[in-house]
Amino acid sequence: MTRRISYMLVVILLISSALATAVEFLHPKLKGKEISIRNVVVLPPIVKMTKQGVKGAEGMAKEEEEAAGTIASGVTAGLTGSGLSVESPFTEEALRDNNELKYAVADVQRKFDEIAPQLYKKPKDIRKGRFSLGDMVAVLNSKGTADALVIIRSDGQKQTKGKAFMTGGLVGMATSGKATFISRVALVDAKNGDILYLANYITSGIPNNKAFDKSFRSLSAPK
Amino acid sequence: MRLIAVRPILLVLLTTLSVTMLPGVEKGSSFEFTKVDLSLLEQADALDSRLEREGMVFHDEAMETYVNQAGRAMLPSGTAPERVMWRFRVIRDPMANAFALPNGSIYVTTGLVSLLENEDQLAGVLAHEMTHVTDRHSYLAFRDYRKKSTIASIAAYASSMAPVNTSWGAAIYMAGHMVPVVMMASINGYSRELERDADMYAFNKLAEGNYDPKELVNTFRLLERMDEVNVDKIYYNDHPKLDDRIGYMTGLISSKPPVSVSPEVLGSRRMKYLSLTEQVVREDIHLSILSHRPRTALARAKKLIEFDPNSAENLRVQADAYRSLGPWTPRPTDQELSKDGKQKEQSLRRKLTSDEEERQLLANGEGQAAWQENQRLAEETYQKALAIDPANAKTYLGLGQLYEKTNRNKEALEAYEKYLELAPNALDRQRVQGRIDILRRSTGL
Repeated sequence: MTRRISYMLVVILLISSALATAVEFLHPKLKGKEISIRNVVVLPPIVKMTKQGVKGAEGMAKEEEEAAGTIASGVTAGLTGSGLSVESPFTEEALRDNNELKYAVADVQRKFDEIAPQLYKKPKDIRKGRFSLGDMVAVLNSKGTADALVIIRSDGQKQTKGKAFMTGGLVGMATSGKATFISRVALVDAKNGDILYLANYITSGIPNNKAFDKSFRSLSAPK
Repeated sequence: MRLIAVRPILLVLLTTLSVTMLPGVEKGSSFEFTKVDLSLLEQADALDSRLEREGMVFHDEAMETYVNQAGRAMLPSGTAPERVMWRFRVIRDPMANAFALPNGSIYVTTGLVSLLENEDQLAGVLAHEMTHVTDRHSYLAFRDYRKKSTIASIAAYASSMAPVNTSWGAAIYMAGHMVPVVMMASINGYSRELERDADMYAFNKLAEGNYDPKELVNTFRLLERMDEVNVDKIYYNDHPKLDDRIGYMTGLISSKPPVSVSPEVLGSRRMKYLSLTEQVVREDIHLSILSHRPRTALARAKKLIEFDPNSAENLRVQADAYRSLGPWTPRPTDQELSKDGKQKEQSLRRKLTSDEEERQLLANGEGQAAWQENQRLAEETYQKALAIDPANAKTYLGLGQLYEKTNRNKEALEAYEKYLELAPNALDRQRVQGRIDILRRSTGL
């Protein structure tokens, strides 16, 4: 029953705003301006989408690929809008014939996923400088010019009308067209792997430029 | 907390479901694809692309050829079933596992390849997985789950089963998200009958191909090994029917003894397997260290050394494994393996990152003693590697990390500089240069 009420509240919130609700957490060094971020490198987003129906869950592979592109460009636009210089060198083409680099990217993504449960559970601990991926991340900063790596995770769930009716009644059914996404954007120190910044977003529909438009302002480095 | 409560209920429900699932497709009968089957096939194709794109598939020409040859030797006669294209791949995941997608892609993890001991075992695993494809088990299971999923959500099960504070099992977790039925089968197996069918096919095919079917039993036994304190009792090595399978396979062998394979032939196939899989095992050790499974890394490294004790690369990865052990003992202690010990470990993993857990252990005397011994063994092994190959760049990198951690900054600096001298174009050049800069500042050198 409590779950149902929570679900209804989220649905109502999403209908009323239809916009991302971002919550940001900053590392003390970033907050205290001990370090600044000017150049960032974006890693390929990892997006998972599931269609929840009365007859169970199904993957949404095609939609995931499209969503990954939209999310990556949205985050890039948001970061650029905050005055950061953004590079995305790890394209599919760049990695296709370079297994060493492809594995290095995969290993950093894997390391992030390893600490993700604690990070998501207590994101406030970023303010205590608790989380780090270690300096293995510097492998992806081969030119040495990046201040931070941008790691993106997004989980979308779309309910079929039948399932939405079962869980949210008529209100749920009315909102079943769009997937609900929980997305996270983390900035990791490109030299020592410290998690410098994390923003959480809940969006109705794939988070696009609009969702990230007002984000990352707290990262703006002094000119 | 909720997930912990839900997990056993789901497990019971889904185990019940797996036991009562539909029988397989009759051999030789045609299979009519429904819209639902085609959608599953589409997800399987997409999963293949994604595993490749995200750097999960391991590429090593010799190994790829070898796995393909072993797989093709196990194929049923005749053409491939409709909408099946056979592909055999190794996936970068330290969890010992194998899974088949309905489109004919069969994956064995680096964790399984490095656990197995010979070609006969690998062929057996591939033959077993092949049956799930030829007999359309995933399609049938998926159809069945769709009927029953109002009782329990597979997705909820999948997320509740995600390993905590470790990235081992990432591949199967990804598969589980895209093709949930694959994860279900990988954890619980299909129904008892379907698993037995697959084992029977593997048994017969091994015998036909002059492999030793007894190695199937040895494979099951290897999967029972406990190199780590496994608090996530969910995967292949905790397969609920593993003991059953050992039982009926042993019974089958004694009632229908296969033509025996000479020890010379077995030995030569073993040597070939160990030689061709050396690179995979090294990769698996790297992944085990990354996934915070240092004991598994050390166990695999010891196997490498037994096979080739004079390989500088093997000694180097063994030293890496010792170094990553930190304050842990090489094998789990009885206390750690006890019920209380496992509960304590589970609780720690939920609360702490692996670095924090290491720091906590280092704060006590036992942890300190283990750490010192492991670092000593690591240094000794790195030196052995250098005695064999003084130009092995990665050995200097490992030594540099070891010296830095033990506050021998001058030696660390020299080792890092030697590394960059030997590997000037290394991908991690910037990382190592960063360490050198820090050390120079701190030592004033």
